[in-house]
Amino acid sequence: MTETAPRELVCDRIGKTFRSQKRDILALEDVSFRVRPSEFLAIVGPSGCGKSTLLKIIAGLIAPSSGKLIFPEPETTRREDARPAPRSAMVFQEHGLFPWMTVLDNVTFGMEMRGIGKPEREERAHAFLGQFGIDAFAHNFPHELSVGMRQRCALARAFLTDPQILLMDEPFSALDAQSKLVLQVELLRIWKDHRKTVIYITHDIDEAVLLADRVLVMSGRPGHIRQEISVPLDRPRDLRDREQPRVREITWHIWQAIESDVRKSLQLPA
Amino acid sequence: MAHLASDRERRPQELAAPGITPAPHRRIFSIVPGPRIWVPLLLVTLLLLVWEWAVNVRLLAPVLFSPPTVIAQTIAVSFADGSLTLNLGVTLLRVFGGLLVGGGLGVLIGMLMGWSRTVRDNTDPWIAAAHAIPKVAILPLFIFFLGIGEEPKIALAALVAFFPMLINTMAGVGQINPIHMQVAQNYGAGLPQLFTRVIFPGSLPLILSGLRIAFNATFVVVIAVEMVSGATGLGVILWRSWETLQVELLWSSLVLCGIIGIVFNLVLILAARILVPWQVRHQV
Repeated sequence: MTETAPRELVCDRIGKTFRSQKRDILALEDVSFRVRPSEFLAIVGPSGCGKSTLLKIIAGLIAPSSGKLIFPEPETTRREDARPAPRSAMVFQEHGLFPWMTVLDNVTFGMEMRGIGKPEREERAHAFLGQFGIDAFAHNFPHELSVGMRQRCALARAFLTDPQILLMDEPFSALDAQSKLVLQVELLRIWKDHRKTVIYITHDIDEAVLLADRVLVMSGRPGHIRQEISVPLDRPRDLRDREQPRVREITWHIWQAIESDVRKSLQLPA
Repeated sequence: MAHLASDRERRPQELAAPGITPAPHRRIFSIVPGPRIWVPLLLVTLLLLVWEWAVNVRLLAPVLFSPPTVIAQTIAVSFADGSLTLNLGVTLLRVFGGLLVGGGLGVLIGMLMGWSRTVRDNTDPWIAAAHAIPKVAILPLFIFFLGIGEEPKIALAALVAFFPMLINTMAGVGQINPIHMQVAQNYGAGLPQLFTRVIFPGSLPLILSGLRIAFNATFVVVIAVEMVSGATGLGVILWRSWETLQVELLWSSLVLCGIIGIVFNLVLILAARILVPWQVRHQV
């Protein structure tokens, strides 16, 4: 990986203050990090540490109060696309799919917004729907699907939009433990083929270590980055890798960094 | 308006997990469902029989109450000679003209008000004031402005349709999950796309239930307007049958109004199945 700045996403001393009539709340303070191209970055932290706020700032949904965000230079876009791909595409925890659109319309929404014609959208979509195992349900509505299938659609939509950076805000947190494991493996499998840059937010340490190349540990009040931990684990990975002593050690290390924060939030002695 | 979904209606959503069937499997034309229709049908038949019997044995005065057989006959004859068809058509034309103009405007302005806090804050007092004015009271003013033709009648119908459509549309936009707005924005939607792909379809369930309220309100006002200032329409027939003491025509017209209500309701249910199939509980 070269260190030339335009190839990386740079978060430079990002700060966010929510102003209300009663008082100002400092949600983020001096958050700085870089994300390399094709890197899978996970951010873990206790609830309320500002990780979702950070992701929304990167997604352009809220503006930072201070600091700046530098996106990498966009790669050359396909000539036939009327508009370039968006810089980011976000996968939400739940309810991110439009209930009034079929699966097919949902997953092609990003392309539709870019002015890509319907035949081409659907052609590109079908390959992906197959990959995500939801091809047979292209004309179903989200409410007809299980939570796990809906989240697969949400992932398919984000990948299909082909953004510079994929943002995932605890995409599997609404799932039961077993489905979650299966979808983590699926995500690893699909990500391996596309190698998109990912910022993945979670409060599940095992999940972060299994998926990511690097884990940022966030701490709350105000939200800041406490530690950065690499996960030097070969890919492809699978669930068995979680049993490796190295992985156990990293997981324990992250837990120690977080524990005091969690205790504090529960009003327990450290 | 919105009622809670019964267990029956809620089940498919929760059972969706293991045995999900790929689309298309939605049944749209199952308006006349099997077993549920029999009890109400039986009750109506029973009511009609008792009514008929009561008039025949003079328990109800025939001068005031026409028996159902006579009502049915009157309706059939009036349809056959075209007198009713024409008047019914005129009334419905006014109702739907008003719904189209007033309801359309209500939806447009309602979407703007639901979307923007600024628009809402600056228009709400005006809406509240205008809504409080009894609409029929404006008829003389409209006649003054627009003459005595169709215009004042349709204008008044539009005004009546406007408010429920506006209020429901605004509420419809309000109940859209903010995540959907964020998704649209994040995936590159501009303002026009936000309205056509998110705000309009998202508020459609409540727009449809607004349509039901608006239809009834508009129907009432059109009939009332026809009674005072019409030469044609169902309202004219109603008023004339009272003036000429044609009690069977009076009852026939009332029954017809009820039938129109049922038909429009069925049309709305069908529309909801086609337009908002994703809404498991049809709010109409």
